[in-house]
Amino acid sequence: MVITLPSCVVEDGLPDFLGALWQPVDGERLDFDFSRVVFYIPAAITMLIARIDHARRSGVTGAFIGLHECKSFRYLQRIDFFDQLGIALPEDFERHDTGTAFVPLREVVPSPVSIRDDPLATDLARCVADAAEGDVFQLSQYSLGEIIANLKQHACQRGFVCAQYTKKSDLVRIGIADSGIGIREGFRQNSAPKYRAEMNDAQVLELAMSLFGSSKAHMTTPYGESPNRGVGLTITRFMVAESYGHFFLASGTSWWFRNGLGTPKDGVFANGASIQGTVLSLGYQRDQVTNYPELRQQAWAGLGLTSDPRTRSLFS
Amino acid sequence: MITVFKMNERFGGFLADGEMANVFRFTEVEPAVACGGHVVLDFEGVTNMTDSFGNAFIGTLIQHHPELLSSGLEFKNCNPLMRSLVSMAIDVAHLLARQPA
Repeated sequence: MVITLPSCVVEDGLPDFLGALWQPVDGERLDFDFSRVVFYIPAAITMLIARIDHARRSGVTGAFIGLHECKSFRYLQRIDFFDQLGIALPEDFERHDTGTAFVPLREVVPSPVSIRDDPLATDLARCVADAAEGDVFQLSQYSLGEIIANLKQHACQRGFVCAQYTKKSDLVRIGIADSGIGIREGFRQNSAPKYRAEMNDAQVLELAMSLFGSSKAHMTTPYGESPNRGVGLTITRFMVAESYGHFFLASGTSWWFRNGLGTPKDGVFANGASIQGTVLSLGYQRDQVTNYPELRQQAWAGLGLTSDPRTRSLFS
Repeated sequence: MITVFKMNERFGGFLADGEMANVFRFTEVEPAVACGGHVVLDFEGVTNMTDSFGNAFIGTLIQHHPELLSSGLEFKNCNPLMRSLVSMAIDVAHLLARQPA
């Protein structure tokens, strides 16, 4: 079977792209035709590599077709797309500082997070913000910190994260994907109290995005309560919407998408396709992110949280 | 006795990792609280924090020791953002405490 990759994938095209990528495999061979590929947003790139990684792990053989006709072949090489798959391809260019255009695709492995900072989140945020401080940097750092931690704690399989800044549209885009157990299986394995087996995948996505919806919120660790409270993804979604950005989440048979403050859309992938794992896409325009502290405050107020006046005396 | 924990020296300027926050709270901060001393959390040089870190560290600390809201705990050198993030973590602790089990 051959999956012919489309030329361009942006937010609106993610459902069709993901549905095609995860259509049931007919036979033991799966080839990917890259010849038309021109421009993919980070979520599409990360899910493409996760899909290939899954096929290889599952013992499905295959080849990459049309790489030399592919207009973004060198770009894919520059972001280490093939290196991450353990495929060394000769490069006919010199690597140089990527500036703020992109950072290489990074692997995220399921493990405890770093001891200091989160260097991955900080590096990617610095790249897309073109700064190590300021509102765009902080929103990006926060969002990346939360979604990278989610993958490490829930996917049970390695994943990939990628970020991109497009000057023309002033858009920061972040994508993260894995081919792990997926959101439904996470809820099931952890016996999450809010999860019901009869829920469809769209309802499971809604649960994952809801406040205190984490599949591990009820669990305990040797150190007491779970660090997963189910707040980070909810806050991220809220802040992205308030910045007139986009938020896309998909797992299993369903996807969910909201553009700015518009009415959310959701759907089921065509032809019985089902994603193994999870993919998340975030995007916002730099010039719409002007006051990160206020954005956080708005998010909290939007969730009905208010400050306890007793906390004021705790600060010095 | 006053125990000072310099957050930046331990975790850097971005407090991100909820798992590490849990370990730190359990193995270092809660024992200091249990000794009855005054605990100072110094946020100098800290510029951002995830909710995972804030909830696992500060939220759970307040859940376990609500008496700290009256005395025994001090947040030092918080910039306005960190001040609001710390307050929010405490709010979550309150909200979770009110949730039915």
